Amino acid sequence: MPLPPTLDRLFRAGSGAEREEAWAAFVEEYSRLLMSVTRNVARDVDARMDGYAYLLDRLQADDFARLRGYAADGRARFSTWLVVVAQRLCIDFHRSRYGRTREAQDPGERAARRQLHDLVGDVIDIEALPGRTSSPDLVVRRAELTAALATALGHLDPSDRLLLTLRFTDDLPASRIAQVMSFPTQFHVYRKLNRILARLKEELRGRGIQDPAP
Amino acid sequence: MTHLDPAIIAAYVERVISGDERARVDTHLAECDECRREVVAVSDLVRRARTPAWRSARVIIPLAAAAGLLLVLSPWRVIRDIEPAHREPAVIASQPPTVRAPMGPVVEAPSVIWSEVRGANRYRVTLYDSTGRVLWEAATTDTLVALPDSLALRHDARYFWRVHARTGFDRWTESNLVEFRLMDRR
Repeated sequence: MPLPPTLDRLFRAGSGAEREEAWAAFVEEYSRLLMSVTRNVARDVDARMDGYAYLLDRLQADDFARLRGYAADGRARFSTWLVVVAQRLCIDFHRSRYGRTREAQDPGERAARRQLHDLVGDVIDIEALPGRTSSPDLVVRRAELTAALATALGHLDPSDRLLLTLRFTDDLPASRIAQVMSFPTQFHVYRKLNRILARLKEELRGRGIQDPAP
Repeated sequence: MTHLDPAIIAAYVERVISGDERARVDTHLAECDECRREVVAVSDLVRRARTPAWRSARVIIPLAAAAGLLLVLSPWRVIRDIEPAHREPAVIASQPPTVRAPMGPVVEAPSVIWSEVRGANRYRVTLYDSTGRVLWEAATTDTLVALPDSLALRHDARYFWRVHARTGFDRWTESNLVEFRLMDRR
């Protein structure tokens, strides 16, 4: 894919006024995109503005070294690549200011519990499941179920594993999964999920696991 | 763990990545929380950036920025952000969810479906029998949830269901209570 005209002009610009005009044209064309990225990372207006200033500073640095990193190899559009780079820069800026966010709960345990009750049988109230203070028998049973599930998951195609991860670990709605994985609609996501889960149930039953309760 | 290169992520989001490489990326994404979050965020941003309403927004940057301005080659243009800077989101009455299916006599009821509620981040579905006893409940972020086979719904029995949508902290809006009945296929 050829370089966008504003980018090409920027790289070809000499010094002084020509460079400034080329940069102004680039900012004019991509400001909205960059602002959408800052809006995605920072909640308040001041933080977004600071993030935007940081973005422009970093993109200009070292004779536009970051922008020159875009490989016009006929694959992704420059605007998509720019979103990725800008997102990373914004997150770095946000972390340098506020530190990393801490997870409120153990995501691993929650993900494992959801996987178990979604994969093998009835809907179970997650909150009713025994927690970390369970008896030794329950701990062993949970470990067996988790190991069996991990083995079964390992036999799936990478895209099927990713679908399950987006659904049960990240708790994304089917509509967003459809967007990320390019399914036509969320109903296609559900149909695919049902097929994957049916296969997993079959494999788990083959290992003698009939009951999802730990 | 080595994270994905921006060019790979961009190519993945645009679906211009080859089969073998896609499989490698899928494998990595299934295991790497950070890259997966990044792909989800980028795909959302790209989709929003390409919708027509996005292009009508105008953004203005104030001149009063950080010391980083000293490194900028060209002067800033003054731009005004049109978004109002509310301290808290305005409290507005949300539309309740509208149940879609199943309703009335149906041949089958593999799932329950309802309309999306703007601003809702979670839904709670409850199924009752004709006596009002709760048969089943589920929470989801989708507007559709499959009914488990273990419910074993009976033909010609009356069932009721409703859905609650969470629109804020401890704020819910609920649909009407809807009846359905499984018809005998014969």
